[in-house]
Amino acid sequence: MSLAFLGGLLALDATSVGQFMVSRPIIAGTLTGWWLGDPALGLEIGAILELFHLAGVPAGGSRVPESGPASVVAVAVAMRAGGVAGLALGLAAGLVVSEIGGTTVGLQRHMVARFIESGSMTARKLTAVHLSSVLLDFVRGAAVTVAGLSVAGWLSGIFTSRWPLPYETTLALILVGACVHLGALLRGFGGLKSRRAVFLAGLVAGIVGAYL
Amino acid sequence: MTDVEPTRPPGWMSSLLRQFMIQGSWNYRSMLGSGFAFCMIPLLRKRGLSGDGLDDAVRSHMDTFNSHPYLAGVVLGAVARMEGSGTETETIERFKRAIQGSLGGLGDLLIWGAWRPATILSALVLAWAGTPPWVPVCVFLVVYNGGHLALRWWGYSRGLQYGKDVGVQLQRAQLSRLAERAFKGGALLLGILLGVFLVSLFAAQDAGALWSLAGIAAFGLGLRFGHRALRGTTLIVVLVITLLTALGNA
Repeated sequence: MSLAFLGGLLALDATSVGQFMVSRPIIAGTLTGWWLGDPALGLEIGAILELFHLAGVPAGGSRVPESGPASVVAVAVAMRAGGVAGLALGLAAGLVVSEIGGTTVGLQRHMVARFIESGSMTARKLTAVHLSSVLLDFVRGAAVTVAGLSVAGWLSGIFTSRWPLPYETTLALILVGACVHLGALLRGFGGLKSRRAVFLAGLVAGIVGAYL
Repeated sequence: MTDVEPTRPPGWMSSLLRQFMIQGSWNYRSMLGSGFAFCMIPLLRKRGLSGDGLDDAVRSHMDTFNSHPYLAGVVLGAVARMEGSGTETETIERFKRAIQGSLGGLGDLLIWGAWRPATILSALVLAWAGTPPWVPVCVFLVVYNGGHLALRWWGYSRGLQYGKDVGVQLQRAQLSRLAERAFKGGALLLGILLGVFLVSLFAAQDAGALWSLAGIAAFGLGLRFGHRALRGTTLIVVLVITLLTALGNA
């Protein structure tokens, strides 16, 4: 129940209330880790999930994956599965729940449109509809979290022992996928042509720093 | 010459706080329209409106409106100023329609496109550098929200101050130049993170060089196809994990 509450709060932060970006995977994942007693694992899973959300831009109300409840599910699954299997299964659960969460956000927006259209609006009715929509968003986020925890938790319980790869190979596989998102992000920053100098300076610094 | 009114209208603080919930009823019909009207209610009430007069005024703000949420305060402040000075409803509607597109585009570019990814990248670099979990969390939340809150405050106060002439202030502020700086900083941090990843891939136990090449190829794929490649990549990663699990150790 406490994780459902956390998922609901994080869903609110994404759009309805504040937008302080507490719902970003790197933050939400670490918070969930703290909540469950392992912030380091929360940060690891959250940071990896963040790589797959980083290049997304919610421009003009377009549908994007929802990261808050998904981060809660990803970290909870990773903790339950444990070890290297937890890394892979947590990420997969987080990515699937992100997409499902994004779809439910779209459904909610259609539902709110029907509330807004129904009848002549007064100041009192508008306030009621607005606050009800915020509450609906919280309930939706909590429901997505509960559904994700139930299904992904059950599946990870069955399949944890089947994960075949060692840690380094698992991480390499995930990082290759993340590199596609990093490439897309550089394109969003203006592309390689216009950012070549700073990007290459960073690349060299990163390689040297990692070796040191 | 721009007519500048330094005083703030009654109800401005309540309206400012409501702006943190402006997207609470975001929908595909009016988008931010209902949220905009929700934020206007305290200002309208403090102008002495009540009953049918208040309801009519609220309905006049319910039309379709969209903007970046952090910059919606620019329009709210300007509309509050215009209504306070007796500007006609049609003129206010025209102003909202005229300014919303540029505010949306500017906010998407500056915040979603530049500021947010650049500050997240700084947190990711810290996380990969092995700092304690609270360090990247605090750095991101403080730096990102420092910019976020400053932009909200700046936009709302400029709107209240300059009314319909706020567009000139937006141009003078050269927010797109700030975005350009964030793009450069983001590209630098992105390079650092990619460099760290390539070294990590190279250090993988099995076929490290091949993993590094795969990482470079994947980066090139993302660079070539941009956002079109994102959903497909997510699907492939999930499928690969599912298949490996299904075919893995019994």
